[in-house]
Amino acid sequence: MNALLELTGVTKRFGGLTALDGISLSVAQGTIHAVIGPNGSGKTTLFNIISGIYVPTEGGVRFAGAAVTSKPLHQLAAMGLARTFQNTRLFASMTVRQNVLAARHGRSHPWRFDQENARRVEEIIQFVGLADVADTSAASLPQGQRRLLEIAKALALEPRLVLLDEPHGGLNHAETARLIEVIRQMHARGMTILLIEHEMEVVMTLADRITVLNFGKVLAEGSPADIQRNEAVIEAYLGRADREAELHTQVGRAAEGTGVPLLEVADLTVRYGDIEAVRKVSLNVGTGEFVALLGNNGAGKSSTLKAIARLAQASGSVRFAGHELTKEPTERLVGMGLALVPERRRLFGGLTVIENLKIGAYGRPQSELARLIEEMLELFPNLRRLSASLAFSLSGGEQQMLAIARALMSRPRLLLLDEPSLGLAPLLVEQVFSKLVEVNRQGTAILLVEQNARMALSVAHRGYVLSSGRIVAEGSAAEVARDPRLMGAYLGHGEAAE
Amino acid sequence: MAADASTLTMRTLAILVIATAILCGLLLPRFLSVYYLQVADVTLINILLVLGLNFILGFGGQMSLAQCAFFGIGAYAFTLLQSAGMPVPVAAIGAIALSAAVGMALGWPTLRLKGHYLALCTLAFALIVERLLVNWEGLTNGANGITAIPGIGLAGENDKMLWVLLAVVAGAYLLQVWIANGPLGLRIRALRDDPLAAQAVGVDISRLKIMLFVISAAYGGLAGICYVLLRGYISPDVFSWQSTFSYLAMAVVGGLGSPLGAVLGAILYTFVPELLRFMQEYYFAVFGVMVILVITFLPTGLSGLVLSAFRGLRRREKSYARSDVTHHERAA
Repeated sequence: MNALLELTGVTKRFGGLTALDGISLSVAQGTIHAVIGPNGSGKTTLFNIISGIYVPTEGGVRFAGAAVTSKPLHQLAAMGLARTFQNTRLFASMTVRQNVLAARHGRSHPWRFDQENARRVEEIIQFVGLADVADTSAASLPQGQRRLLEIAKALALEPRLVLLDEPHGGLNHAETARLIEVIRQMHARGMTILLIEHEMEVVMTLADRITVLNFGKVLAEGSPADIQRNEAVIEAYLGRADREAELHTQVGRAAEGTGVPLLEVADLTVRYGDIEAVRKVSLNVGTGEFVALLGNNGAGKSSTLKAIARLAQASGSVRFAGHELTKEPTERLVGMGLALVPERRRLFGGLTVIENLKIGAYGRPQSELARLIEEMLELFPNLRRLSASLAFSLSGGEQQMLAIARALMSRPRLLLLDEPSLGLAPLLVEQVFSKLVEVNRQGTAILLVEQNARMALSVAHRGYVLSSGRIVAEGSAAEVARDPRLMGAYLGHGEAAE
Repeated sequence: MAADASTLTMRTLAILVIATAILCGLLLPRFLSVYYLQVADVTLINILLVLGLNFILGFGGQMSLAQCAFFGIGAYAFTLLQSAGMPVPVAAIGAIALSAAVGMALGWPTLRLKGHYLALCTLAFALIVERLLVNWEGLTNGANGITAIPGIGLAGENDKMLWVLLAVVAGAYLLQVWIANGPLGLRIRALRDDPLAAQAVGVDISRLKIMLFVISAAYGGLAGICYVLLRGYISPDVFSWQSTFSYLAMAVVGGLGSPLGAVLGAILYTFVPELLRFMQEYYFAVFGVMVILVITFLPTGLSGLVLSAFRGLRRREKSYARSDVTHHERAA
């Protein structure tokens, strides 16, 4: 096979964290190759290395037969390697046409605008279907057209290889279909495409070959059909069935709660610009109950959680213990008994474990402080040994425990957790989950947002499955675990998104 | 930045600028006393300095506080080269080239710096240059400065210098607009809008930033030469590091990145206070309030206000024309 892009043993470390570990990957000329993997598996880091934003710690990258390992971004662009960004990076002060024109500077006259170039710019704008809005300001485009312009900018380089970083994120059905069409036409014109994508239906429809990353390593590679059947891939996305059973026998299921409603969310909708991240979501958590909110990356799980904690603007109703939260200022929520453990933990890295805990108790009487800290150190014995260590020096699992402990310092009635398993090895995930069950049994209700569905469902009482911002399945944890829509939300249905 | 030009073609703008310059040259000496004429000359020099600052700060979005230093380097280099016996054009080119070279020497190591750090670094550079001018007495004659510089023999002749300065400023203005509207300007805007995206489409942003530093410094050096020609004497206090903030204020009030803004800002800061002398020192308190108001409510500065008013007017004319058409169509 004729490889246009070839990675050999690419490793990238950020300090002590190994984001990519010996990745070898070969993208054949003229193919559409997709890179998938759970959140935090290293996909974007991989793109940043290929496009020259990062220099790998070890290993090499070859493009079109030349070693390009430490070549800067702009030189690679000139060589015909174009990329788009997950959060579209348009030139906001320019019109659509000027955006494309600016991207063609390497192929145009340096001092004046020549006719030939102007003609090519028009062609590209026509090709992606933005001719109607060519003189509109790029900043005012809706999301679907922003993505198309992002692609037009890449096409302006007349590239041989295009890296597309989640081109479908946040698009509706019509926009997705349009984008798939554009990508197909690019392919038909002989461009090679490397694609990161979370919408599995899109990946399965488009890709000739798929590489699956997990924890910075290549987990599997093959055709879409192979990947959909691959047990290891299913495990990486949903968690392991045997582990689940093991955890279940070890810690059992969480409390059912008293049945008295604690959190009642109705018709919650979250918009970012014109992306609807969450569409009319309704869910309930009872007093003392443990509820899991599941779904693939980009399904709207975190946005739902943020909207409940009033960290994101939303419409709809959020009632907590009978109070309408949407009318309360964010800082009052903690006092009302709601605590959030954010994604990626957000610890105060420069403070010690004890200091982080103290901050969590902000607003509670000084007299309680020592007792609360003692309670947390009993619940999380690992933290006692580390009590004087700075938070950033802790391992991922320890940091997650600290983040949970910090949130518990405010004595919440409801604990909101955003992806506590993110970036943790399976054994640590189990530890975190069994701690959560322990916390729950002491009477704290939990709403857990999680990608690791099997693990979450093995301990939770009830579950909801989100897909593209909507709830597609709900019920008792056992029911949801068996629901085919759960698998569908993660790995696509294998149907073409025509 | 292309705001000035998106509504006008380069040719129309050139005619407009040259006509304005000629009109100023003819009218100002009739209405202004000798003193005010000199103020007008200084205003023109300030326009030149703010135009220069526009490149690095307005176009490039890089906070440079070194404009006063390039002003000084241009002035002293020209003076010393002339006193070494070089003819005026050679001395002028040498002074501009030196300013540009120093600009490159400052731009290169500070490439990695952003925001506050770049501002502090360039401010430190301005301080060093000022200290050098004061303390390197063998070369600069220290705090006493250098007097009786021959220049082009027009020192103190404010009316004749007005023509010289008008010509230089008109040229500098048009060069800036031309750069802003060409492919290079598009690259510069790409850099300012999103440096990473600019790199991703192949723009070498390091080279571009250094280029902006260089052009900016060259404009500063040119302003220094103009100052020597106008006054015939120089001393370090003219190029004090504090003065850099005046240029910054002019640029912001006028509108960052707008050539028209440079003109408006410099006039408002230099010329208008002299007209409003009865307000004495209070004027600058008023100016300070104006800076705050502009930053808060008019991010595009006064030029943005003027241009949007101008554009609004044109749009209304057009829409009248269009409504006429539909009216006729309906009648038919």
